[in-house]
Amino acid sequence: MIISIDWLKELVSFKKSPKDIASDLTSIGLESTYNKDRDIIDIELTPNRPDCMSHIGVAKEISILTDNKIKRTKNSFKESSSDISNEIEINIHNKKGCPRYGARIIKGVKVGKSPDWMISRLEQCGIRSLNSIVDISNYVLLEIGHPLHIFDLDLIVGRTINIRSAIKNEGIVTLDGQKRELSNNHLLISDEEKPIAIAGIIGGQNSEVTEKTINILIESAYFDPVTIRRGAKLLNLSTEASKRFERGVDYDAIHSVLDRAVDLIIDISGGECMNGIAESYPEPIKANSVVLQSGKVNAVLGINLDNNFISKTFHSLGIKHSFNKDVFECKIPSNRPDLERPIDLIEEIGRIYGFDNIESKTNYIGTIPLDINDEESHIDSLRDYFREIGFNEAMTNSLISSEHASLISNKSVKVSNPLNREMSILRASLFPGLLSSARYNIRRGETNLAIFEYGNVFCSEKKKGWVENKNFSGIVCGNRLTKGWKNAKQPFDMFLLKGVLTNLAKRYNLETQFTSIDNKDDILLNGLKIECDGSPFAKIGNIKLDVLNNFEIDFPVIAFDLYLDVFIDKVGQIRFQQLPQFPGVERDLSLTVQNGVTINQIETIIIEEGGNLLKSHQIYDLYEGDQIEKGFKSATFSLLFRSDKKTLKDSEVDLIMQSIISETSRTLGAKLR
Amino acid sequence: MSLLSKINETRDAFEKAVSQDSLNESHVERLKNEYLARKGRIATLFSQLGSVDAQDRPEIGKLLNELKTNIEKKIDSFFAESTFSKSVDDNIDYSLPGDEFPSGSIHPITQTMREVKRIFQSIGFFSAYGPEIDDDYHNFEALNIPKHHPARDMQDTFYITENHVLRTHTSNTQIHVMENSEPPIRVICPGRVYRNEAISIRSYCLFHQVEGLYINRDVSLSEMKGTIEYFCRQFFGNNVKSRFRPSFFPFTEPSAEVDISCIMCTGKGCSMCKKTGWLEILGCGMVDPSVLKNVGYDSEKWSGYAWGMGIERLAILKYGIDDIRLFFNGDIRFLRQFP
Repeated sequence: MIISIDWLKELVSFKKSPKDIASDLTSIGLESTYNKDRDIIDIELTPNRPDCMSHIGVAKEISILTDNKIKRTKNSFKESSSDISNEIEINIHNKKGCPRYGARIIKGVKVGKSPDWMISRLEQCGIRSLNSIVDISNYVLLEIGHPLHIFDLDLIVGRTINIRSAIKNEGIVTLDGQKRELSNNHLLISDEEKPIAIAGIIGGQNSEVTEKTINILIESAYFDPVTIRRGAKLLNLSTEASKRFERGVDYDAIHSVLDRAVDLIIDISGGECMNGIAESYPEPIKANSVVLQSGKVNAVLGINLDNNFISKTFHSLGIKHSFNKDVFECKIPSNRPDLERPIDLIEEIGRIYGFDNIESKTNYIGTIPLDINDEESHIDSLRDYFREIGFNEAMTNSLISSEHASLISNKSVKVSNPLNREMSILRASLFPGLLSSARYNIRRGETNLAIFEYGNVFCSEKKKGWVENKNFSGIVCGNRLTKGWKNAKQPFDMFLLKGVLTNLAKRYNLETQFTSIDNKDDILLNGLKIECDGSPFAKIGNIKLDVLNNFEIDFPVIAFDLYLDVFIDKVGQIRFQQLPQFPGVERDLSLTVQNGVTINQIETIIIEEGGNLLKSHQIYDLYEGDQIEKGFKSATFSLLFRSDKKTLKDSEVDLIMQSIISETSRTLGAKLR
Repeated sequence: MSLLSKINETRDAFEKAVSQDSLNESHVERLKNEYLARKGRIATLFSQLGSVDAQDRPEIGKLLNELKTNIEKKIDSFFAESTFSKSVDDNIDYSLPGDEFPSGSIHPITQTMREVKRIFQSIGFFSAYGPEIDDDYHNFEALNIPKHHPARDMQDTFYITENHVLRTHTSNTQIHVMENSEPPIRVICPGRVYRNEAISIRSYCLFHQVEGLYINRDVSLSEMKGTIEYFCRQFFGNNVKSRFRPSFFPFTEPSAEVDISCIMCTGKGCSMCKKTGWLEILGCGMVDPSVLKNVGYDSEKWSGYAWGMGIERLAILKYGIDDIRLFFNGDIRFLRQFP
C-alpha cells in the first residue's frame, strides 16, 4: 500500500519526520518504509488489516500514536428534488454474496480531465489518470479504502440493478477488454437484460463510463469476502477492488463513501445529485461483540497493565466498551473484521503498548524434552564421515524434469501446478540432482568431484499415492588426489569407493558382505551390493553410459547409494575386546590360481580353515605375468595367528597353514608358489 | 672347532662387518638375513647347542643368547639412527608443500541448521520431523488458514493433488506433534519447504526452515521474547539488538516479526539492511486458540508460542552470500568454501 505524505498530512497532523512516522507505524505492525524521492510511505500490509488499505486507515493509526484527531472534509453538495427511487430499483437475489448494496445517481455530468492536484496524487500512488469520473472513484478508493463502481446510467436497461449469481456459461467482456467465462461461483451485477459487472472484481465494458457519458450511477456495496475471493481466484484476476472486498470492507461506510464521491464529482465534473440513496440491506449486519477478561491480557502478554490503559487503548481504536467486574464488553467497529475473539483484542493492546516495551523473561517452566532423535544424529555423523574423507555435501533441487526423472524410475510423483517443465517432477532418487551438479562442474573445468547429498525422495505407490523416503547418495569422478611432488595421483575407482563403504561399516560396527548386482539395475553397471545380516545396506557401481549421455557428461562417474533405514537399523554398539595377552605369529602365503578364481573364494577358505586363531588376513600382492603360467595369477596374503590363551607354537600354525593349502588346492586348484 | 670358538668367531665377524665406514642400509639388511634369519648363522649355532656337554650347556647357551641379543640391538639401532638422520637431513627443502588431503565440506545450510539446533537444544528443544508432501488440512486448515482466505496468498503453493501440497512451512510437523502427544510440548521442526515462486537471486522454489513450538500452562509473550532474544544473542553475538514488530500470521495471535540490528553496519544503515539498520530474521507469536482447538487442546488450560525462521536467510547473513541459487546448483567451488 502506497501512502502519500502530502495526502496523509491533510487527514491527520503530525510533527515527526516522515521517516520517523514510518518507523513508528512499523512498531505498531504496519511495516513501513519512507521513500524520500517520491515522498511516500510504502507499507507491506498483512492480510488481516483491510482497514489500513487507505489513507484514512493509516491516518487513524497515526492518530492513535499522536493523539491527534482525524480531519475529514465536510461535504457541500446539495441534492435535487427528484427522488432516486423513481430512477432505479435495486434487487439483491443473493443475500449471502451481497448483504448490502447502495447507489446514488448524478445527472448531467461532464466527463473530462481531472484537476492537476488529483492527477498528481493518483500518480504518486501509482495510478494513471483516465477521466474525471474514473479518477474520482480511484481517489475515493485510495482515500477511504472502499471500492466504488460507477456505471453509465443510460446503459443500464430497465432501470434495475440485480445482484445475483452468474449462470453457468454466462459471459461478460470486462473493462480490460477480456471476455470472461463465468460460473455460478461468480456474483454478478446485471440489469434487466445482461450482466453489467462482476461484483466486487471488475466492471463490464457494456456499461462503462466514457467521454460521452452524461448520467451516472455510483455503486457502493458490501460483498461477502469468501464469494469475492473465490470468484477472483477462478478468474485468476486480482484487482484493487477485489483485494479489499476479499479482506473485508467497512459495511457501515456505504453512505459516507457515496457522499464523498458525489461531493468530488459535482465539484469537478458538475451535474446534479438525485435525492436520496437507493439501497437494499435485507438483514442489517450485527456488530461483533467480544467479552474480554481483563486478567487474560496480562496472562498472555506477560506484563502488568492496568485497566485504565486497556480502556484508553480501546477508546483510541474506536472500540466502544463497558467495564464491569474485571470484564470488558466490547463492540467492534465495522471497519475491523479481524477483531472477533478476546485474543484479537489482546493483540491490539499488545501492539499499541509496544512489543518492545514488554519485558523479556527466561524463567522456564520445565518440560521433559523429546527423546533425542537417533536418526538425526546418525545422519549427522554420516555427513561428518564423508566430509572427513574428502566428500563435499551438496543440496540439489527436489523438483526435476520428467526427462531426468524417467531415467531413474517410472514411479515418479508429479506436481500438478509446476513452475515449468524443468521442475515438474519430485525426485525419486538423488542421482539426477547429483549428476546435474557433476555436469555443471565439469563444464566449468572442475572434473575431480566427490559429492554427496542427503534428502527426501518420492515414489508413487498404489495405496497411498506416494511414499517419501530419506536417501543418502553420492557420486565421484576424476581423481581423489592429483599428482604431487611426492605422491602419484589417486584416481577414484570402484575399489576406492568399496574401501570407503567398508571403512564406514567398520566405524558403525556393521558386519558386511559384498555381492555383485546384475546389470538390470536402473542406472548402475558392474555394481556391487553390500549386505548386512542379509539386508542390502548400500550399492556402488558405474553410472551407465546412456544415463551419462543424457546428462551430457563425458567422464566415467561412480556412484553409491546408502539404504538409510537398514543402516540406522543395523548400526551396532561398539564393544570393547580384550587386548592381546600373547604374541602372534605372522605367516605369508603365496598361491597360484587360475584367473577365473576370485580372491573372495580364496579368502573364504582362509577364514574357514584359519578358525579362531586367525586374527587377520590381508592380500598384499597380486601378480600376473612372465614369472607364472599364462591364464594364472598369483596372490600373496599376510596372515596373523594368535591365541587368547597361550603362546602359539610354530607347529600349531604349520598345521593350520597346511590345511589352508590343501583345501585351496582341492577346491580351487591352487598351487603353493 | 668347539661351539664356544664358533660363537667368538661369529661375534668377531659381525663386529668387523658393522665397523665398516661405508655401512649402508642394504648392507645391514643382508647382515640381518645372514645372522638372524630362520636358517641364519645364529640359528645354526643354537641347533648345535644339543651336542655340547650337559654341564657346559647353560654357560654356552647364555653366551649364545647374549650374542643374539647384541646383534639384534646393533641392527635395530642402526636402522633407527639411519631413519632419524634421513628425516633430519639438512639438505631437504622444507619449503616443499606438505602432503595433500582431500578437503571435504558440509553444506552451509547443514552447518547453519546444526548451529540453530544446537542453540535450541541447549534450552531443551529437540527435533521432530514430518512429511514434505502433506494434506491441505495439516499444511493450512489446522493452522487456521481456511480455503478462500487471503492469507493463502502469503504462500504460493505447489499442489500434488487437489488435497495434497508440498508443504509451505514445517508447521505441518507441529500439528502432527500436537495430534500425537499431550502438552506440555517443547519441540523444533527442521526441514525442507516449498514455494511456487520463480527462481531468482533472492528467491528459490524451495528452502529450509526451523520452526519451534512451546506449549505449557500460563505461557506468555514475554517468555517468547526471552527465548527468541536468547537465540539471537547466541547466533549473532551478544552485541546484537533485537526488536519485535507486531505482524500477522494466521496461526499465531498476537504475532510478531523479529528484526536484529544490522550485523554489517551495527544499525547505522547500509546496503545490506536497505538503510533501515534492521534485518528481518524470523516470525513468531502466541499460538492461536483455534490452532489449539484444532488439535484437541483446551485453550483455556494451555497456551504457548511458536516461531519460524528460514535457514537460507540466516546462512546468507552469516556468510555474506549474495545469491540464494548458489545453495542449490552444487557448484563445487562454492561447496568447498565451507569445510
